[in-house]
Amino acid sequence: MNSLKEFTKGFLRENPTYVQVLGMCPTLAVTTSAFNGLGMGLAATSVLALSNVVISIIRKSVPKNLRIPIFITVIATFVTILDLLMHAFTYDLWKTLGLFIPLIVVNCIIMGRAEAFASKNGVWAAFLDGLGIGLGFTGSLVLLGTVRELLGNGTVFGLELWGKAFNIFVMILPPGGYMTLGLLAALFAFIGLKRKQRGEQK
Amino acid sequence: MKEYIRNGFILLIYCLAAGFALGLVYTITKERIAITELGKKFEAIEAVLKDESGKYIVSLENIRTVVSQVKDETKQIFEDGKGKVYSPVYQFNSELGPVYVLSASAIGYGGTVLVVASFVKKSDGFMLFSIRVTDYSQETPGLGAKIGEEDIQKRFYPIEPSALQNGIHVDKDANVSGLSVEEAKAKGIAKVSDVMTGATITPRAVANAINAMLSYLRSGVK
Amino acid sequence: MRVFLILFSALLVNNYVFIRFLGICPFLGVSKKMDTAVGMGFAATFVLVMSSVITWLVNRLLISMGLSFLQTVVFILVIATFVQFVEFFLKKNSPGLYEALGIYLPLITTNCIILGVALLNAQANYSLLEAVFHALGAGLGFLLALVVFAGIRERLELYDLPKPFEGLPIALILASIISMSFMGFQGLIKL
Repeated sequence: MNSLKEFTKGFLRENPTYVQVLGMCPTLAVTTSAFNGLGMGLAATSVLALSNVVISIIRKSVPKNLRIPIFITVIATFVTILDLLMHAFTYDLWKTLGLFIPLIVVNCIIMGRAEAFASKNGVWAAFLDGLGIGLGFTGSLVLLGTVRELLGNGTVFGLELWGKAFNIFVMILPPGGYMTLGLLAALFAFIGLKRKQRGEQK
Repeated sequence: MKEYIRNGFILLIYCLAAGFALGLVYTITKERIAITELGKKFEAIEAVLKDESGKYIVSLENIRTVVSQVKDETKQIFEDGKGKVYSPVYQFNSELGPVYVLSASAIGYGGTVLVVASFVKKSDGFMLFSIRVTDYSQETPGLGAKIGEEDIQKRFYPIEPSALQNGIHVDKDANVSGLSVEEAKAKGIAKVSDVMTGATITPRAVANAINAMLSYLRSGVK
Repeated sequence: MRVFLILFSALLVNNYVFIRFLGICPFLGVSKKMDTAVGMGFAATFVLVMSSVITWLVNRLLISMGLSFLQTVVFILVIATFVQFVEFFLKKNSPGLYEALGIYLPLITTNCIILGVALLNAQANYSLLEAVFHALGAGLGFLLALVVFAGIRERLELYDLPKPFEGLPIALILASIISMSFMGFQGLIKL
């Protein structure tokens, strides 16, 4: 039960994008289509889960004042491994995500989880935490990518929904990224407020 | 002081471990990356040597032998201010005459656009036989990135040498309207404004890259 | 001449915050007040220019040793060490400046503009001078974005907004509108 909670908290309650407002750069930059969002999300998830595990293993042998540089080294190592693997096996996605793969290193979500969770908890819990938060991040990216792709291009995951009938080009351009995320964040805040109100009435 | 040395030592051990792990993964994936890159290259070269009916004008074995013989590394060999041409330049013999396959880049909307093209040498100059836009990853999806669609790339070729006297242009720059796609090609114009509304910079980059390759070829190939 | 094109391209046309989407976290985090925005902007510009020189040299070294796949790891470590060093140096030698910029320095390591510019410099194969101007443009662009944004946000505090839009959502929508105006610089410079 407890481990299930570690896993699912990232989906909504501690959602990295909408609740914690972390990792904004890739969130906005690569979500021009749902597929790119999914690719980026899964890439970040694998780095997050693996680095959480390693950091949890070494947490007792790391001197306190060396924490940050060592964590960065661990994360950067996994990111580079991922970069090499993606270059070798998923060439097209690697090309599209481009600079944002190495930039996973400075994604505040990963450093944040290493600091706040992995360095204080056991291996299994750290793994579940990384996986859960990562999937929450992936979900946000896919949602954002879907909305932008649908409104901007009339497709979802490349499947034509209404095609060229109704397109707002600006949605796939940079301003559309900010706009969509802002409106979605407002929507989530609205749902949160409604829930709270209902709770108070009871 | 002792504390500093100890910390430095610990950090060094972690860095060495990281470096070792990366070295290992790098050695494992190196070959695979090289194969992927080469495969992409073959794909593009083969694609530009196909005519409209899908028939290769140079046999596949011939392509493989020529490509694997050329060992030059990719580097810039020519620049005309708008586009950059890269080595290696491949030369094939075909039933139409000597064919040159080369690549060039030009600046698009978000970054560089990479084009591989084939030119057939004819008595009155170079004919643009076919192109493939191989890297448009920095262009906007749904706008500039539409250049990846084959039907749109077909608007750029084939163009006879006589129409290429002043290079190739996109219809918006050529200030013409009302031409059909084929009529435009006869004038060295790629008609794209009807299929790429709102994106003029990306097709212009493709035209710039093609023009750079043309000037390179005209400057004399050995 | 080319270096000025690179400078303005990084500053306006491809503004790192509004067009390239780098450095959004500090951009949203420290833009609530004008003076923190200015402090952060200058601190980031300084670190950007200096670190781009260092990473350029390190990159040459890595390439000559055939180890360019270690780029990401080495760059981030070099940047982190450099930022630490600057903090240390300022604390000892110039307390005034440390007061003004010191608190932003730890935040800067995880600012993706710094690593992003270092990696882009390596990717585009810039010369040292071009790399410095690229970094300067990126830094000033970041400063510009922060100042414009903070100026509007300070005023926004006074308005009565619909409840769900308070805080982050309205900031993002504001960023969207500024980003749209930055799109107007598109085509200003052809590189």
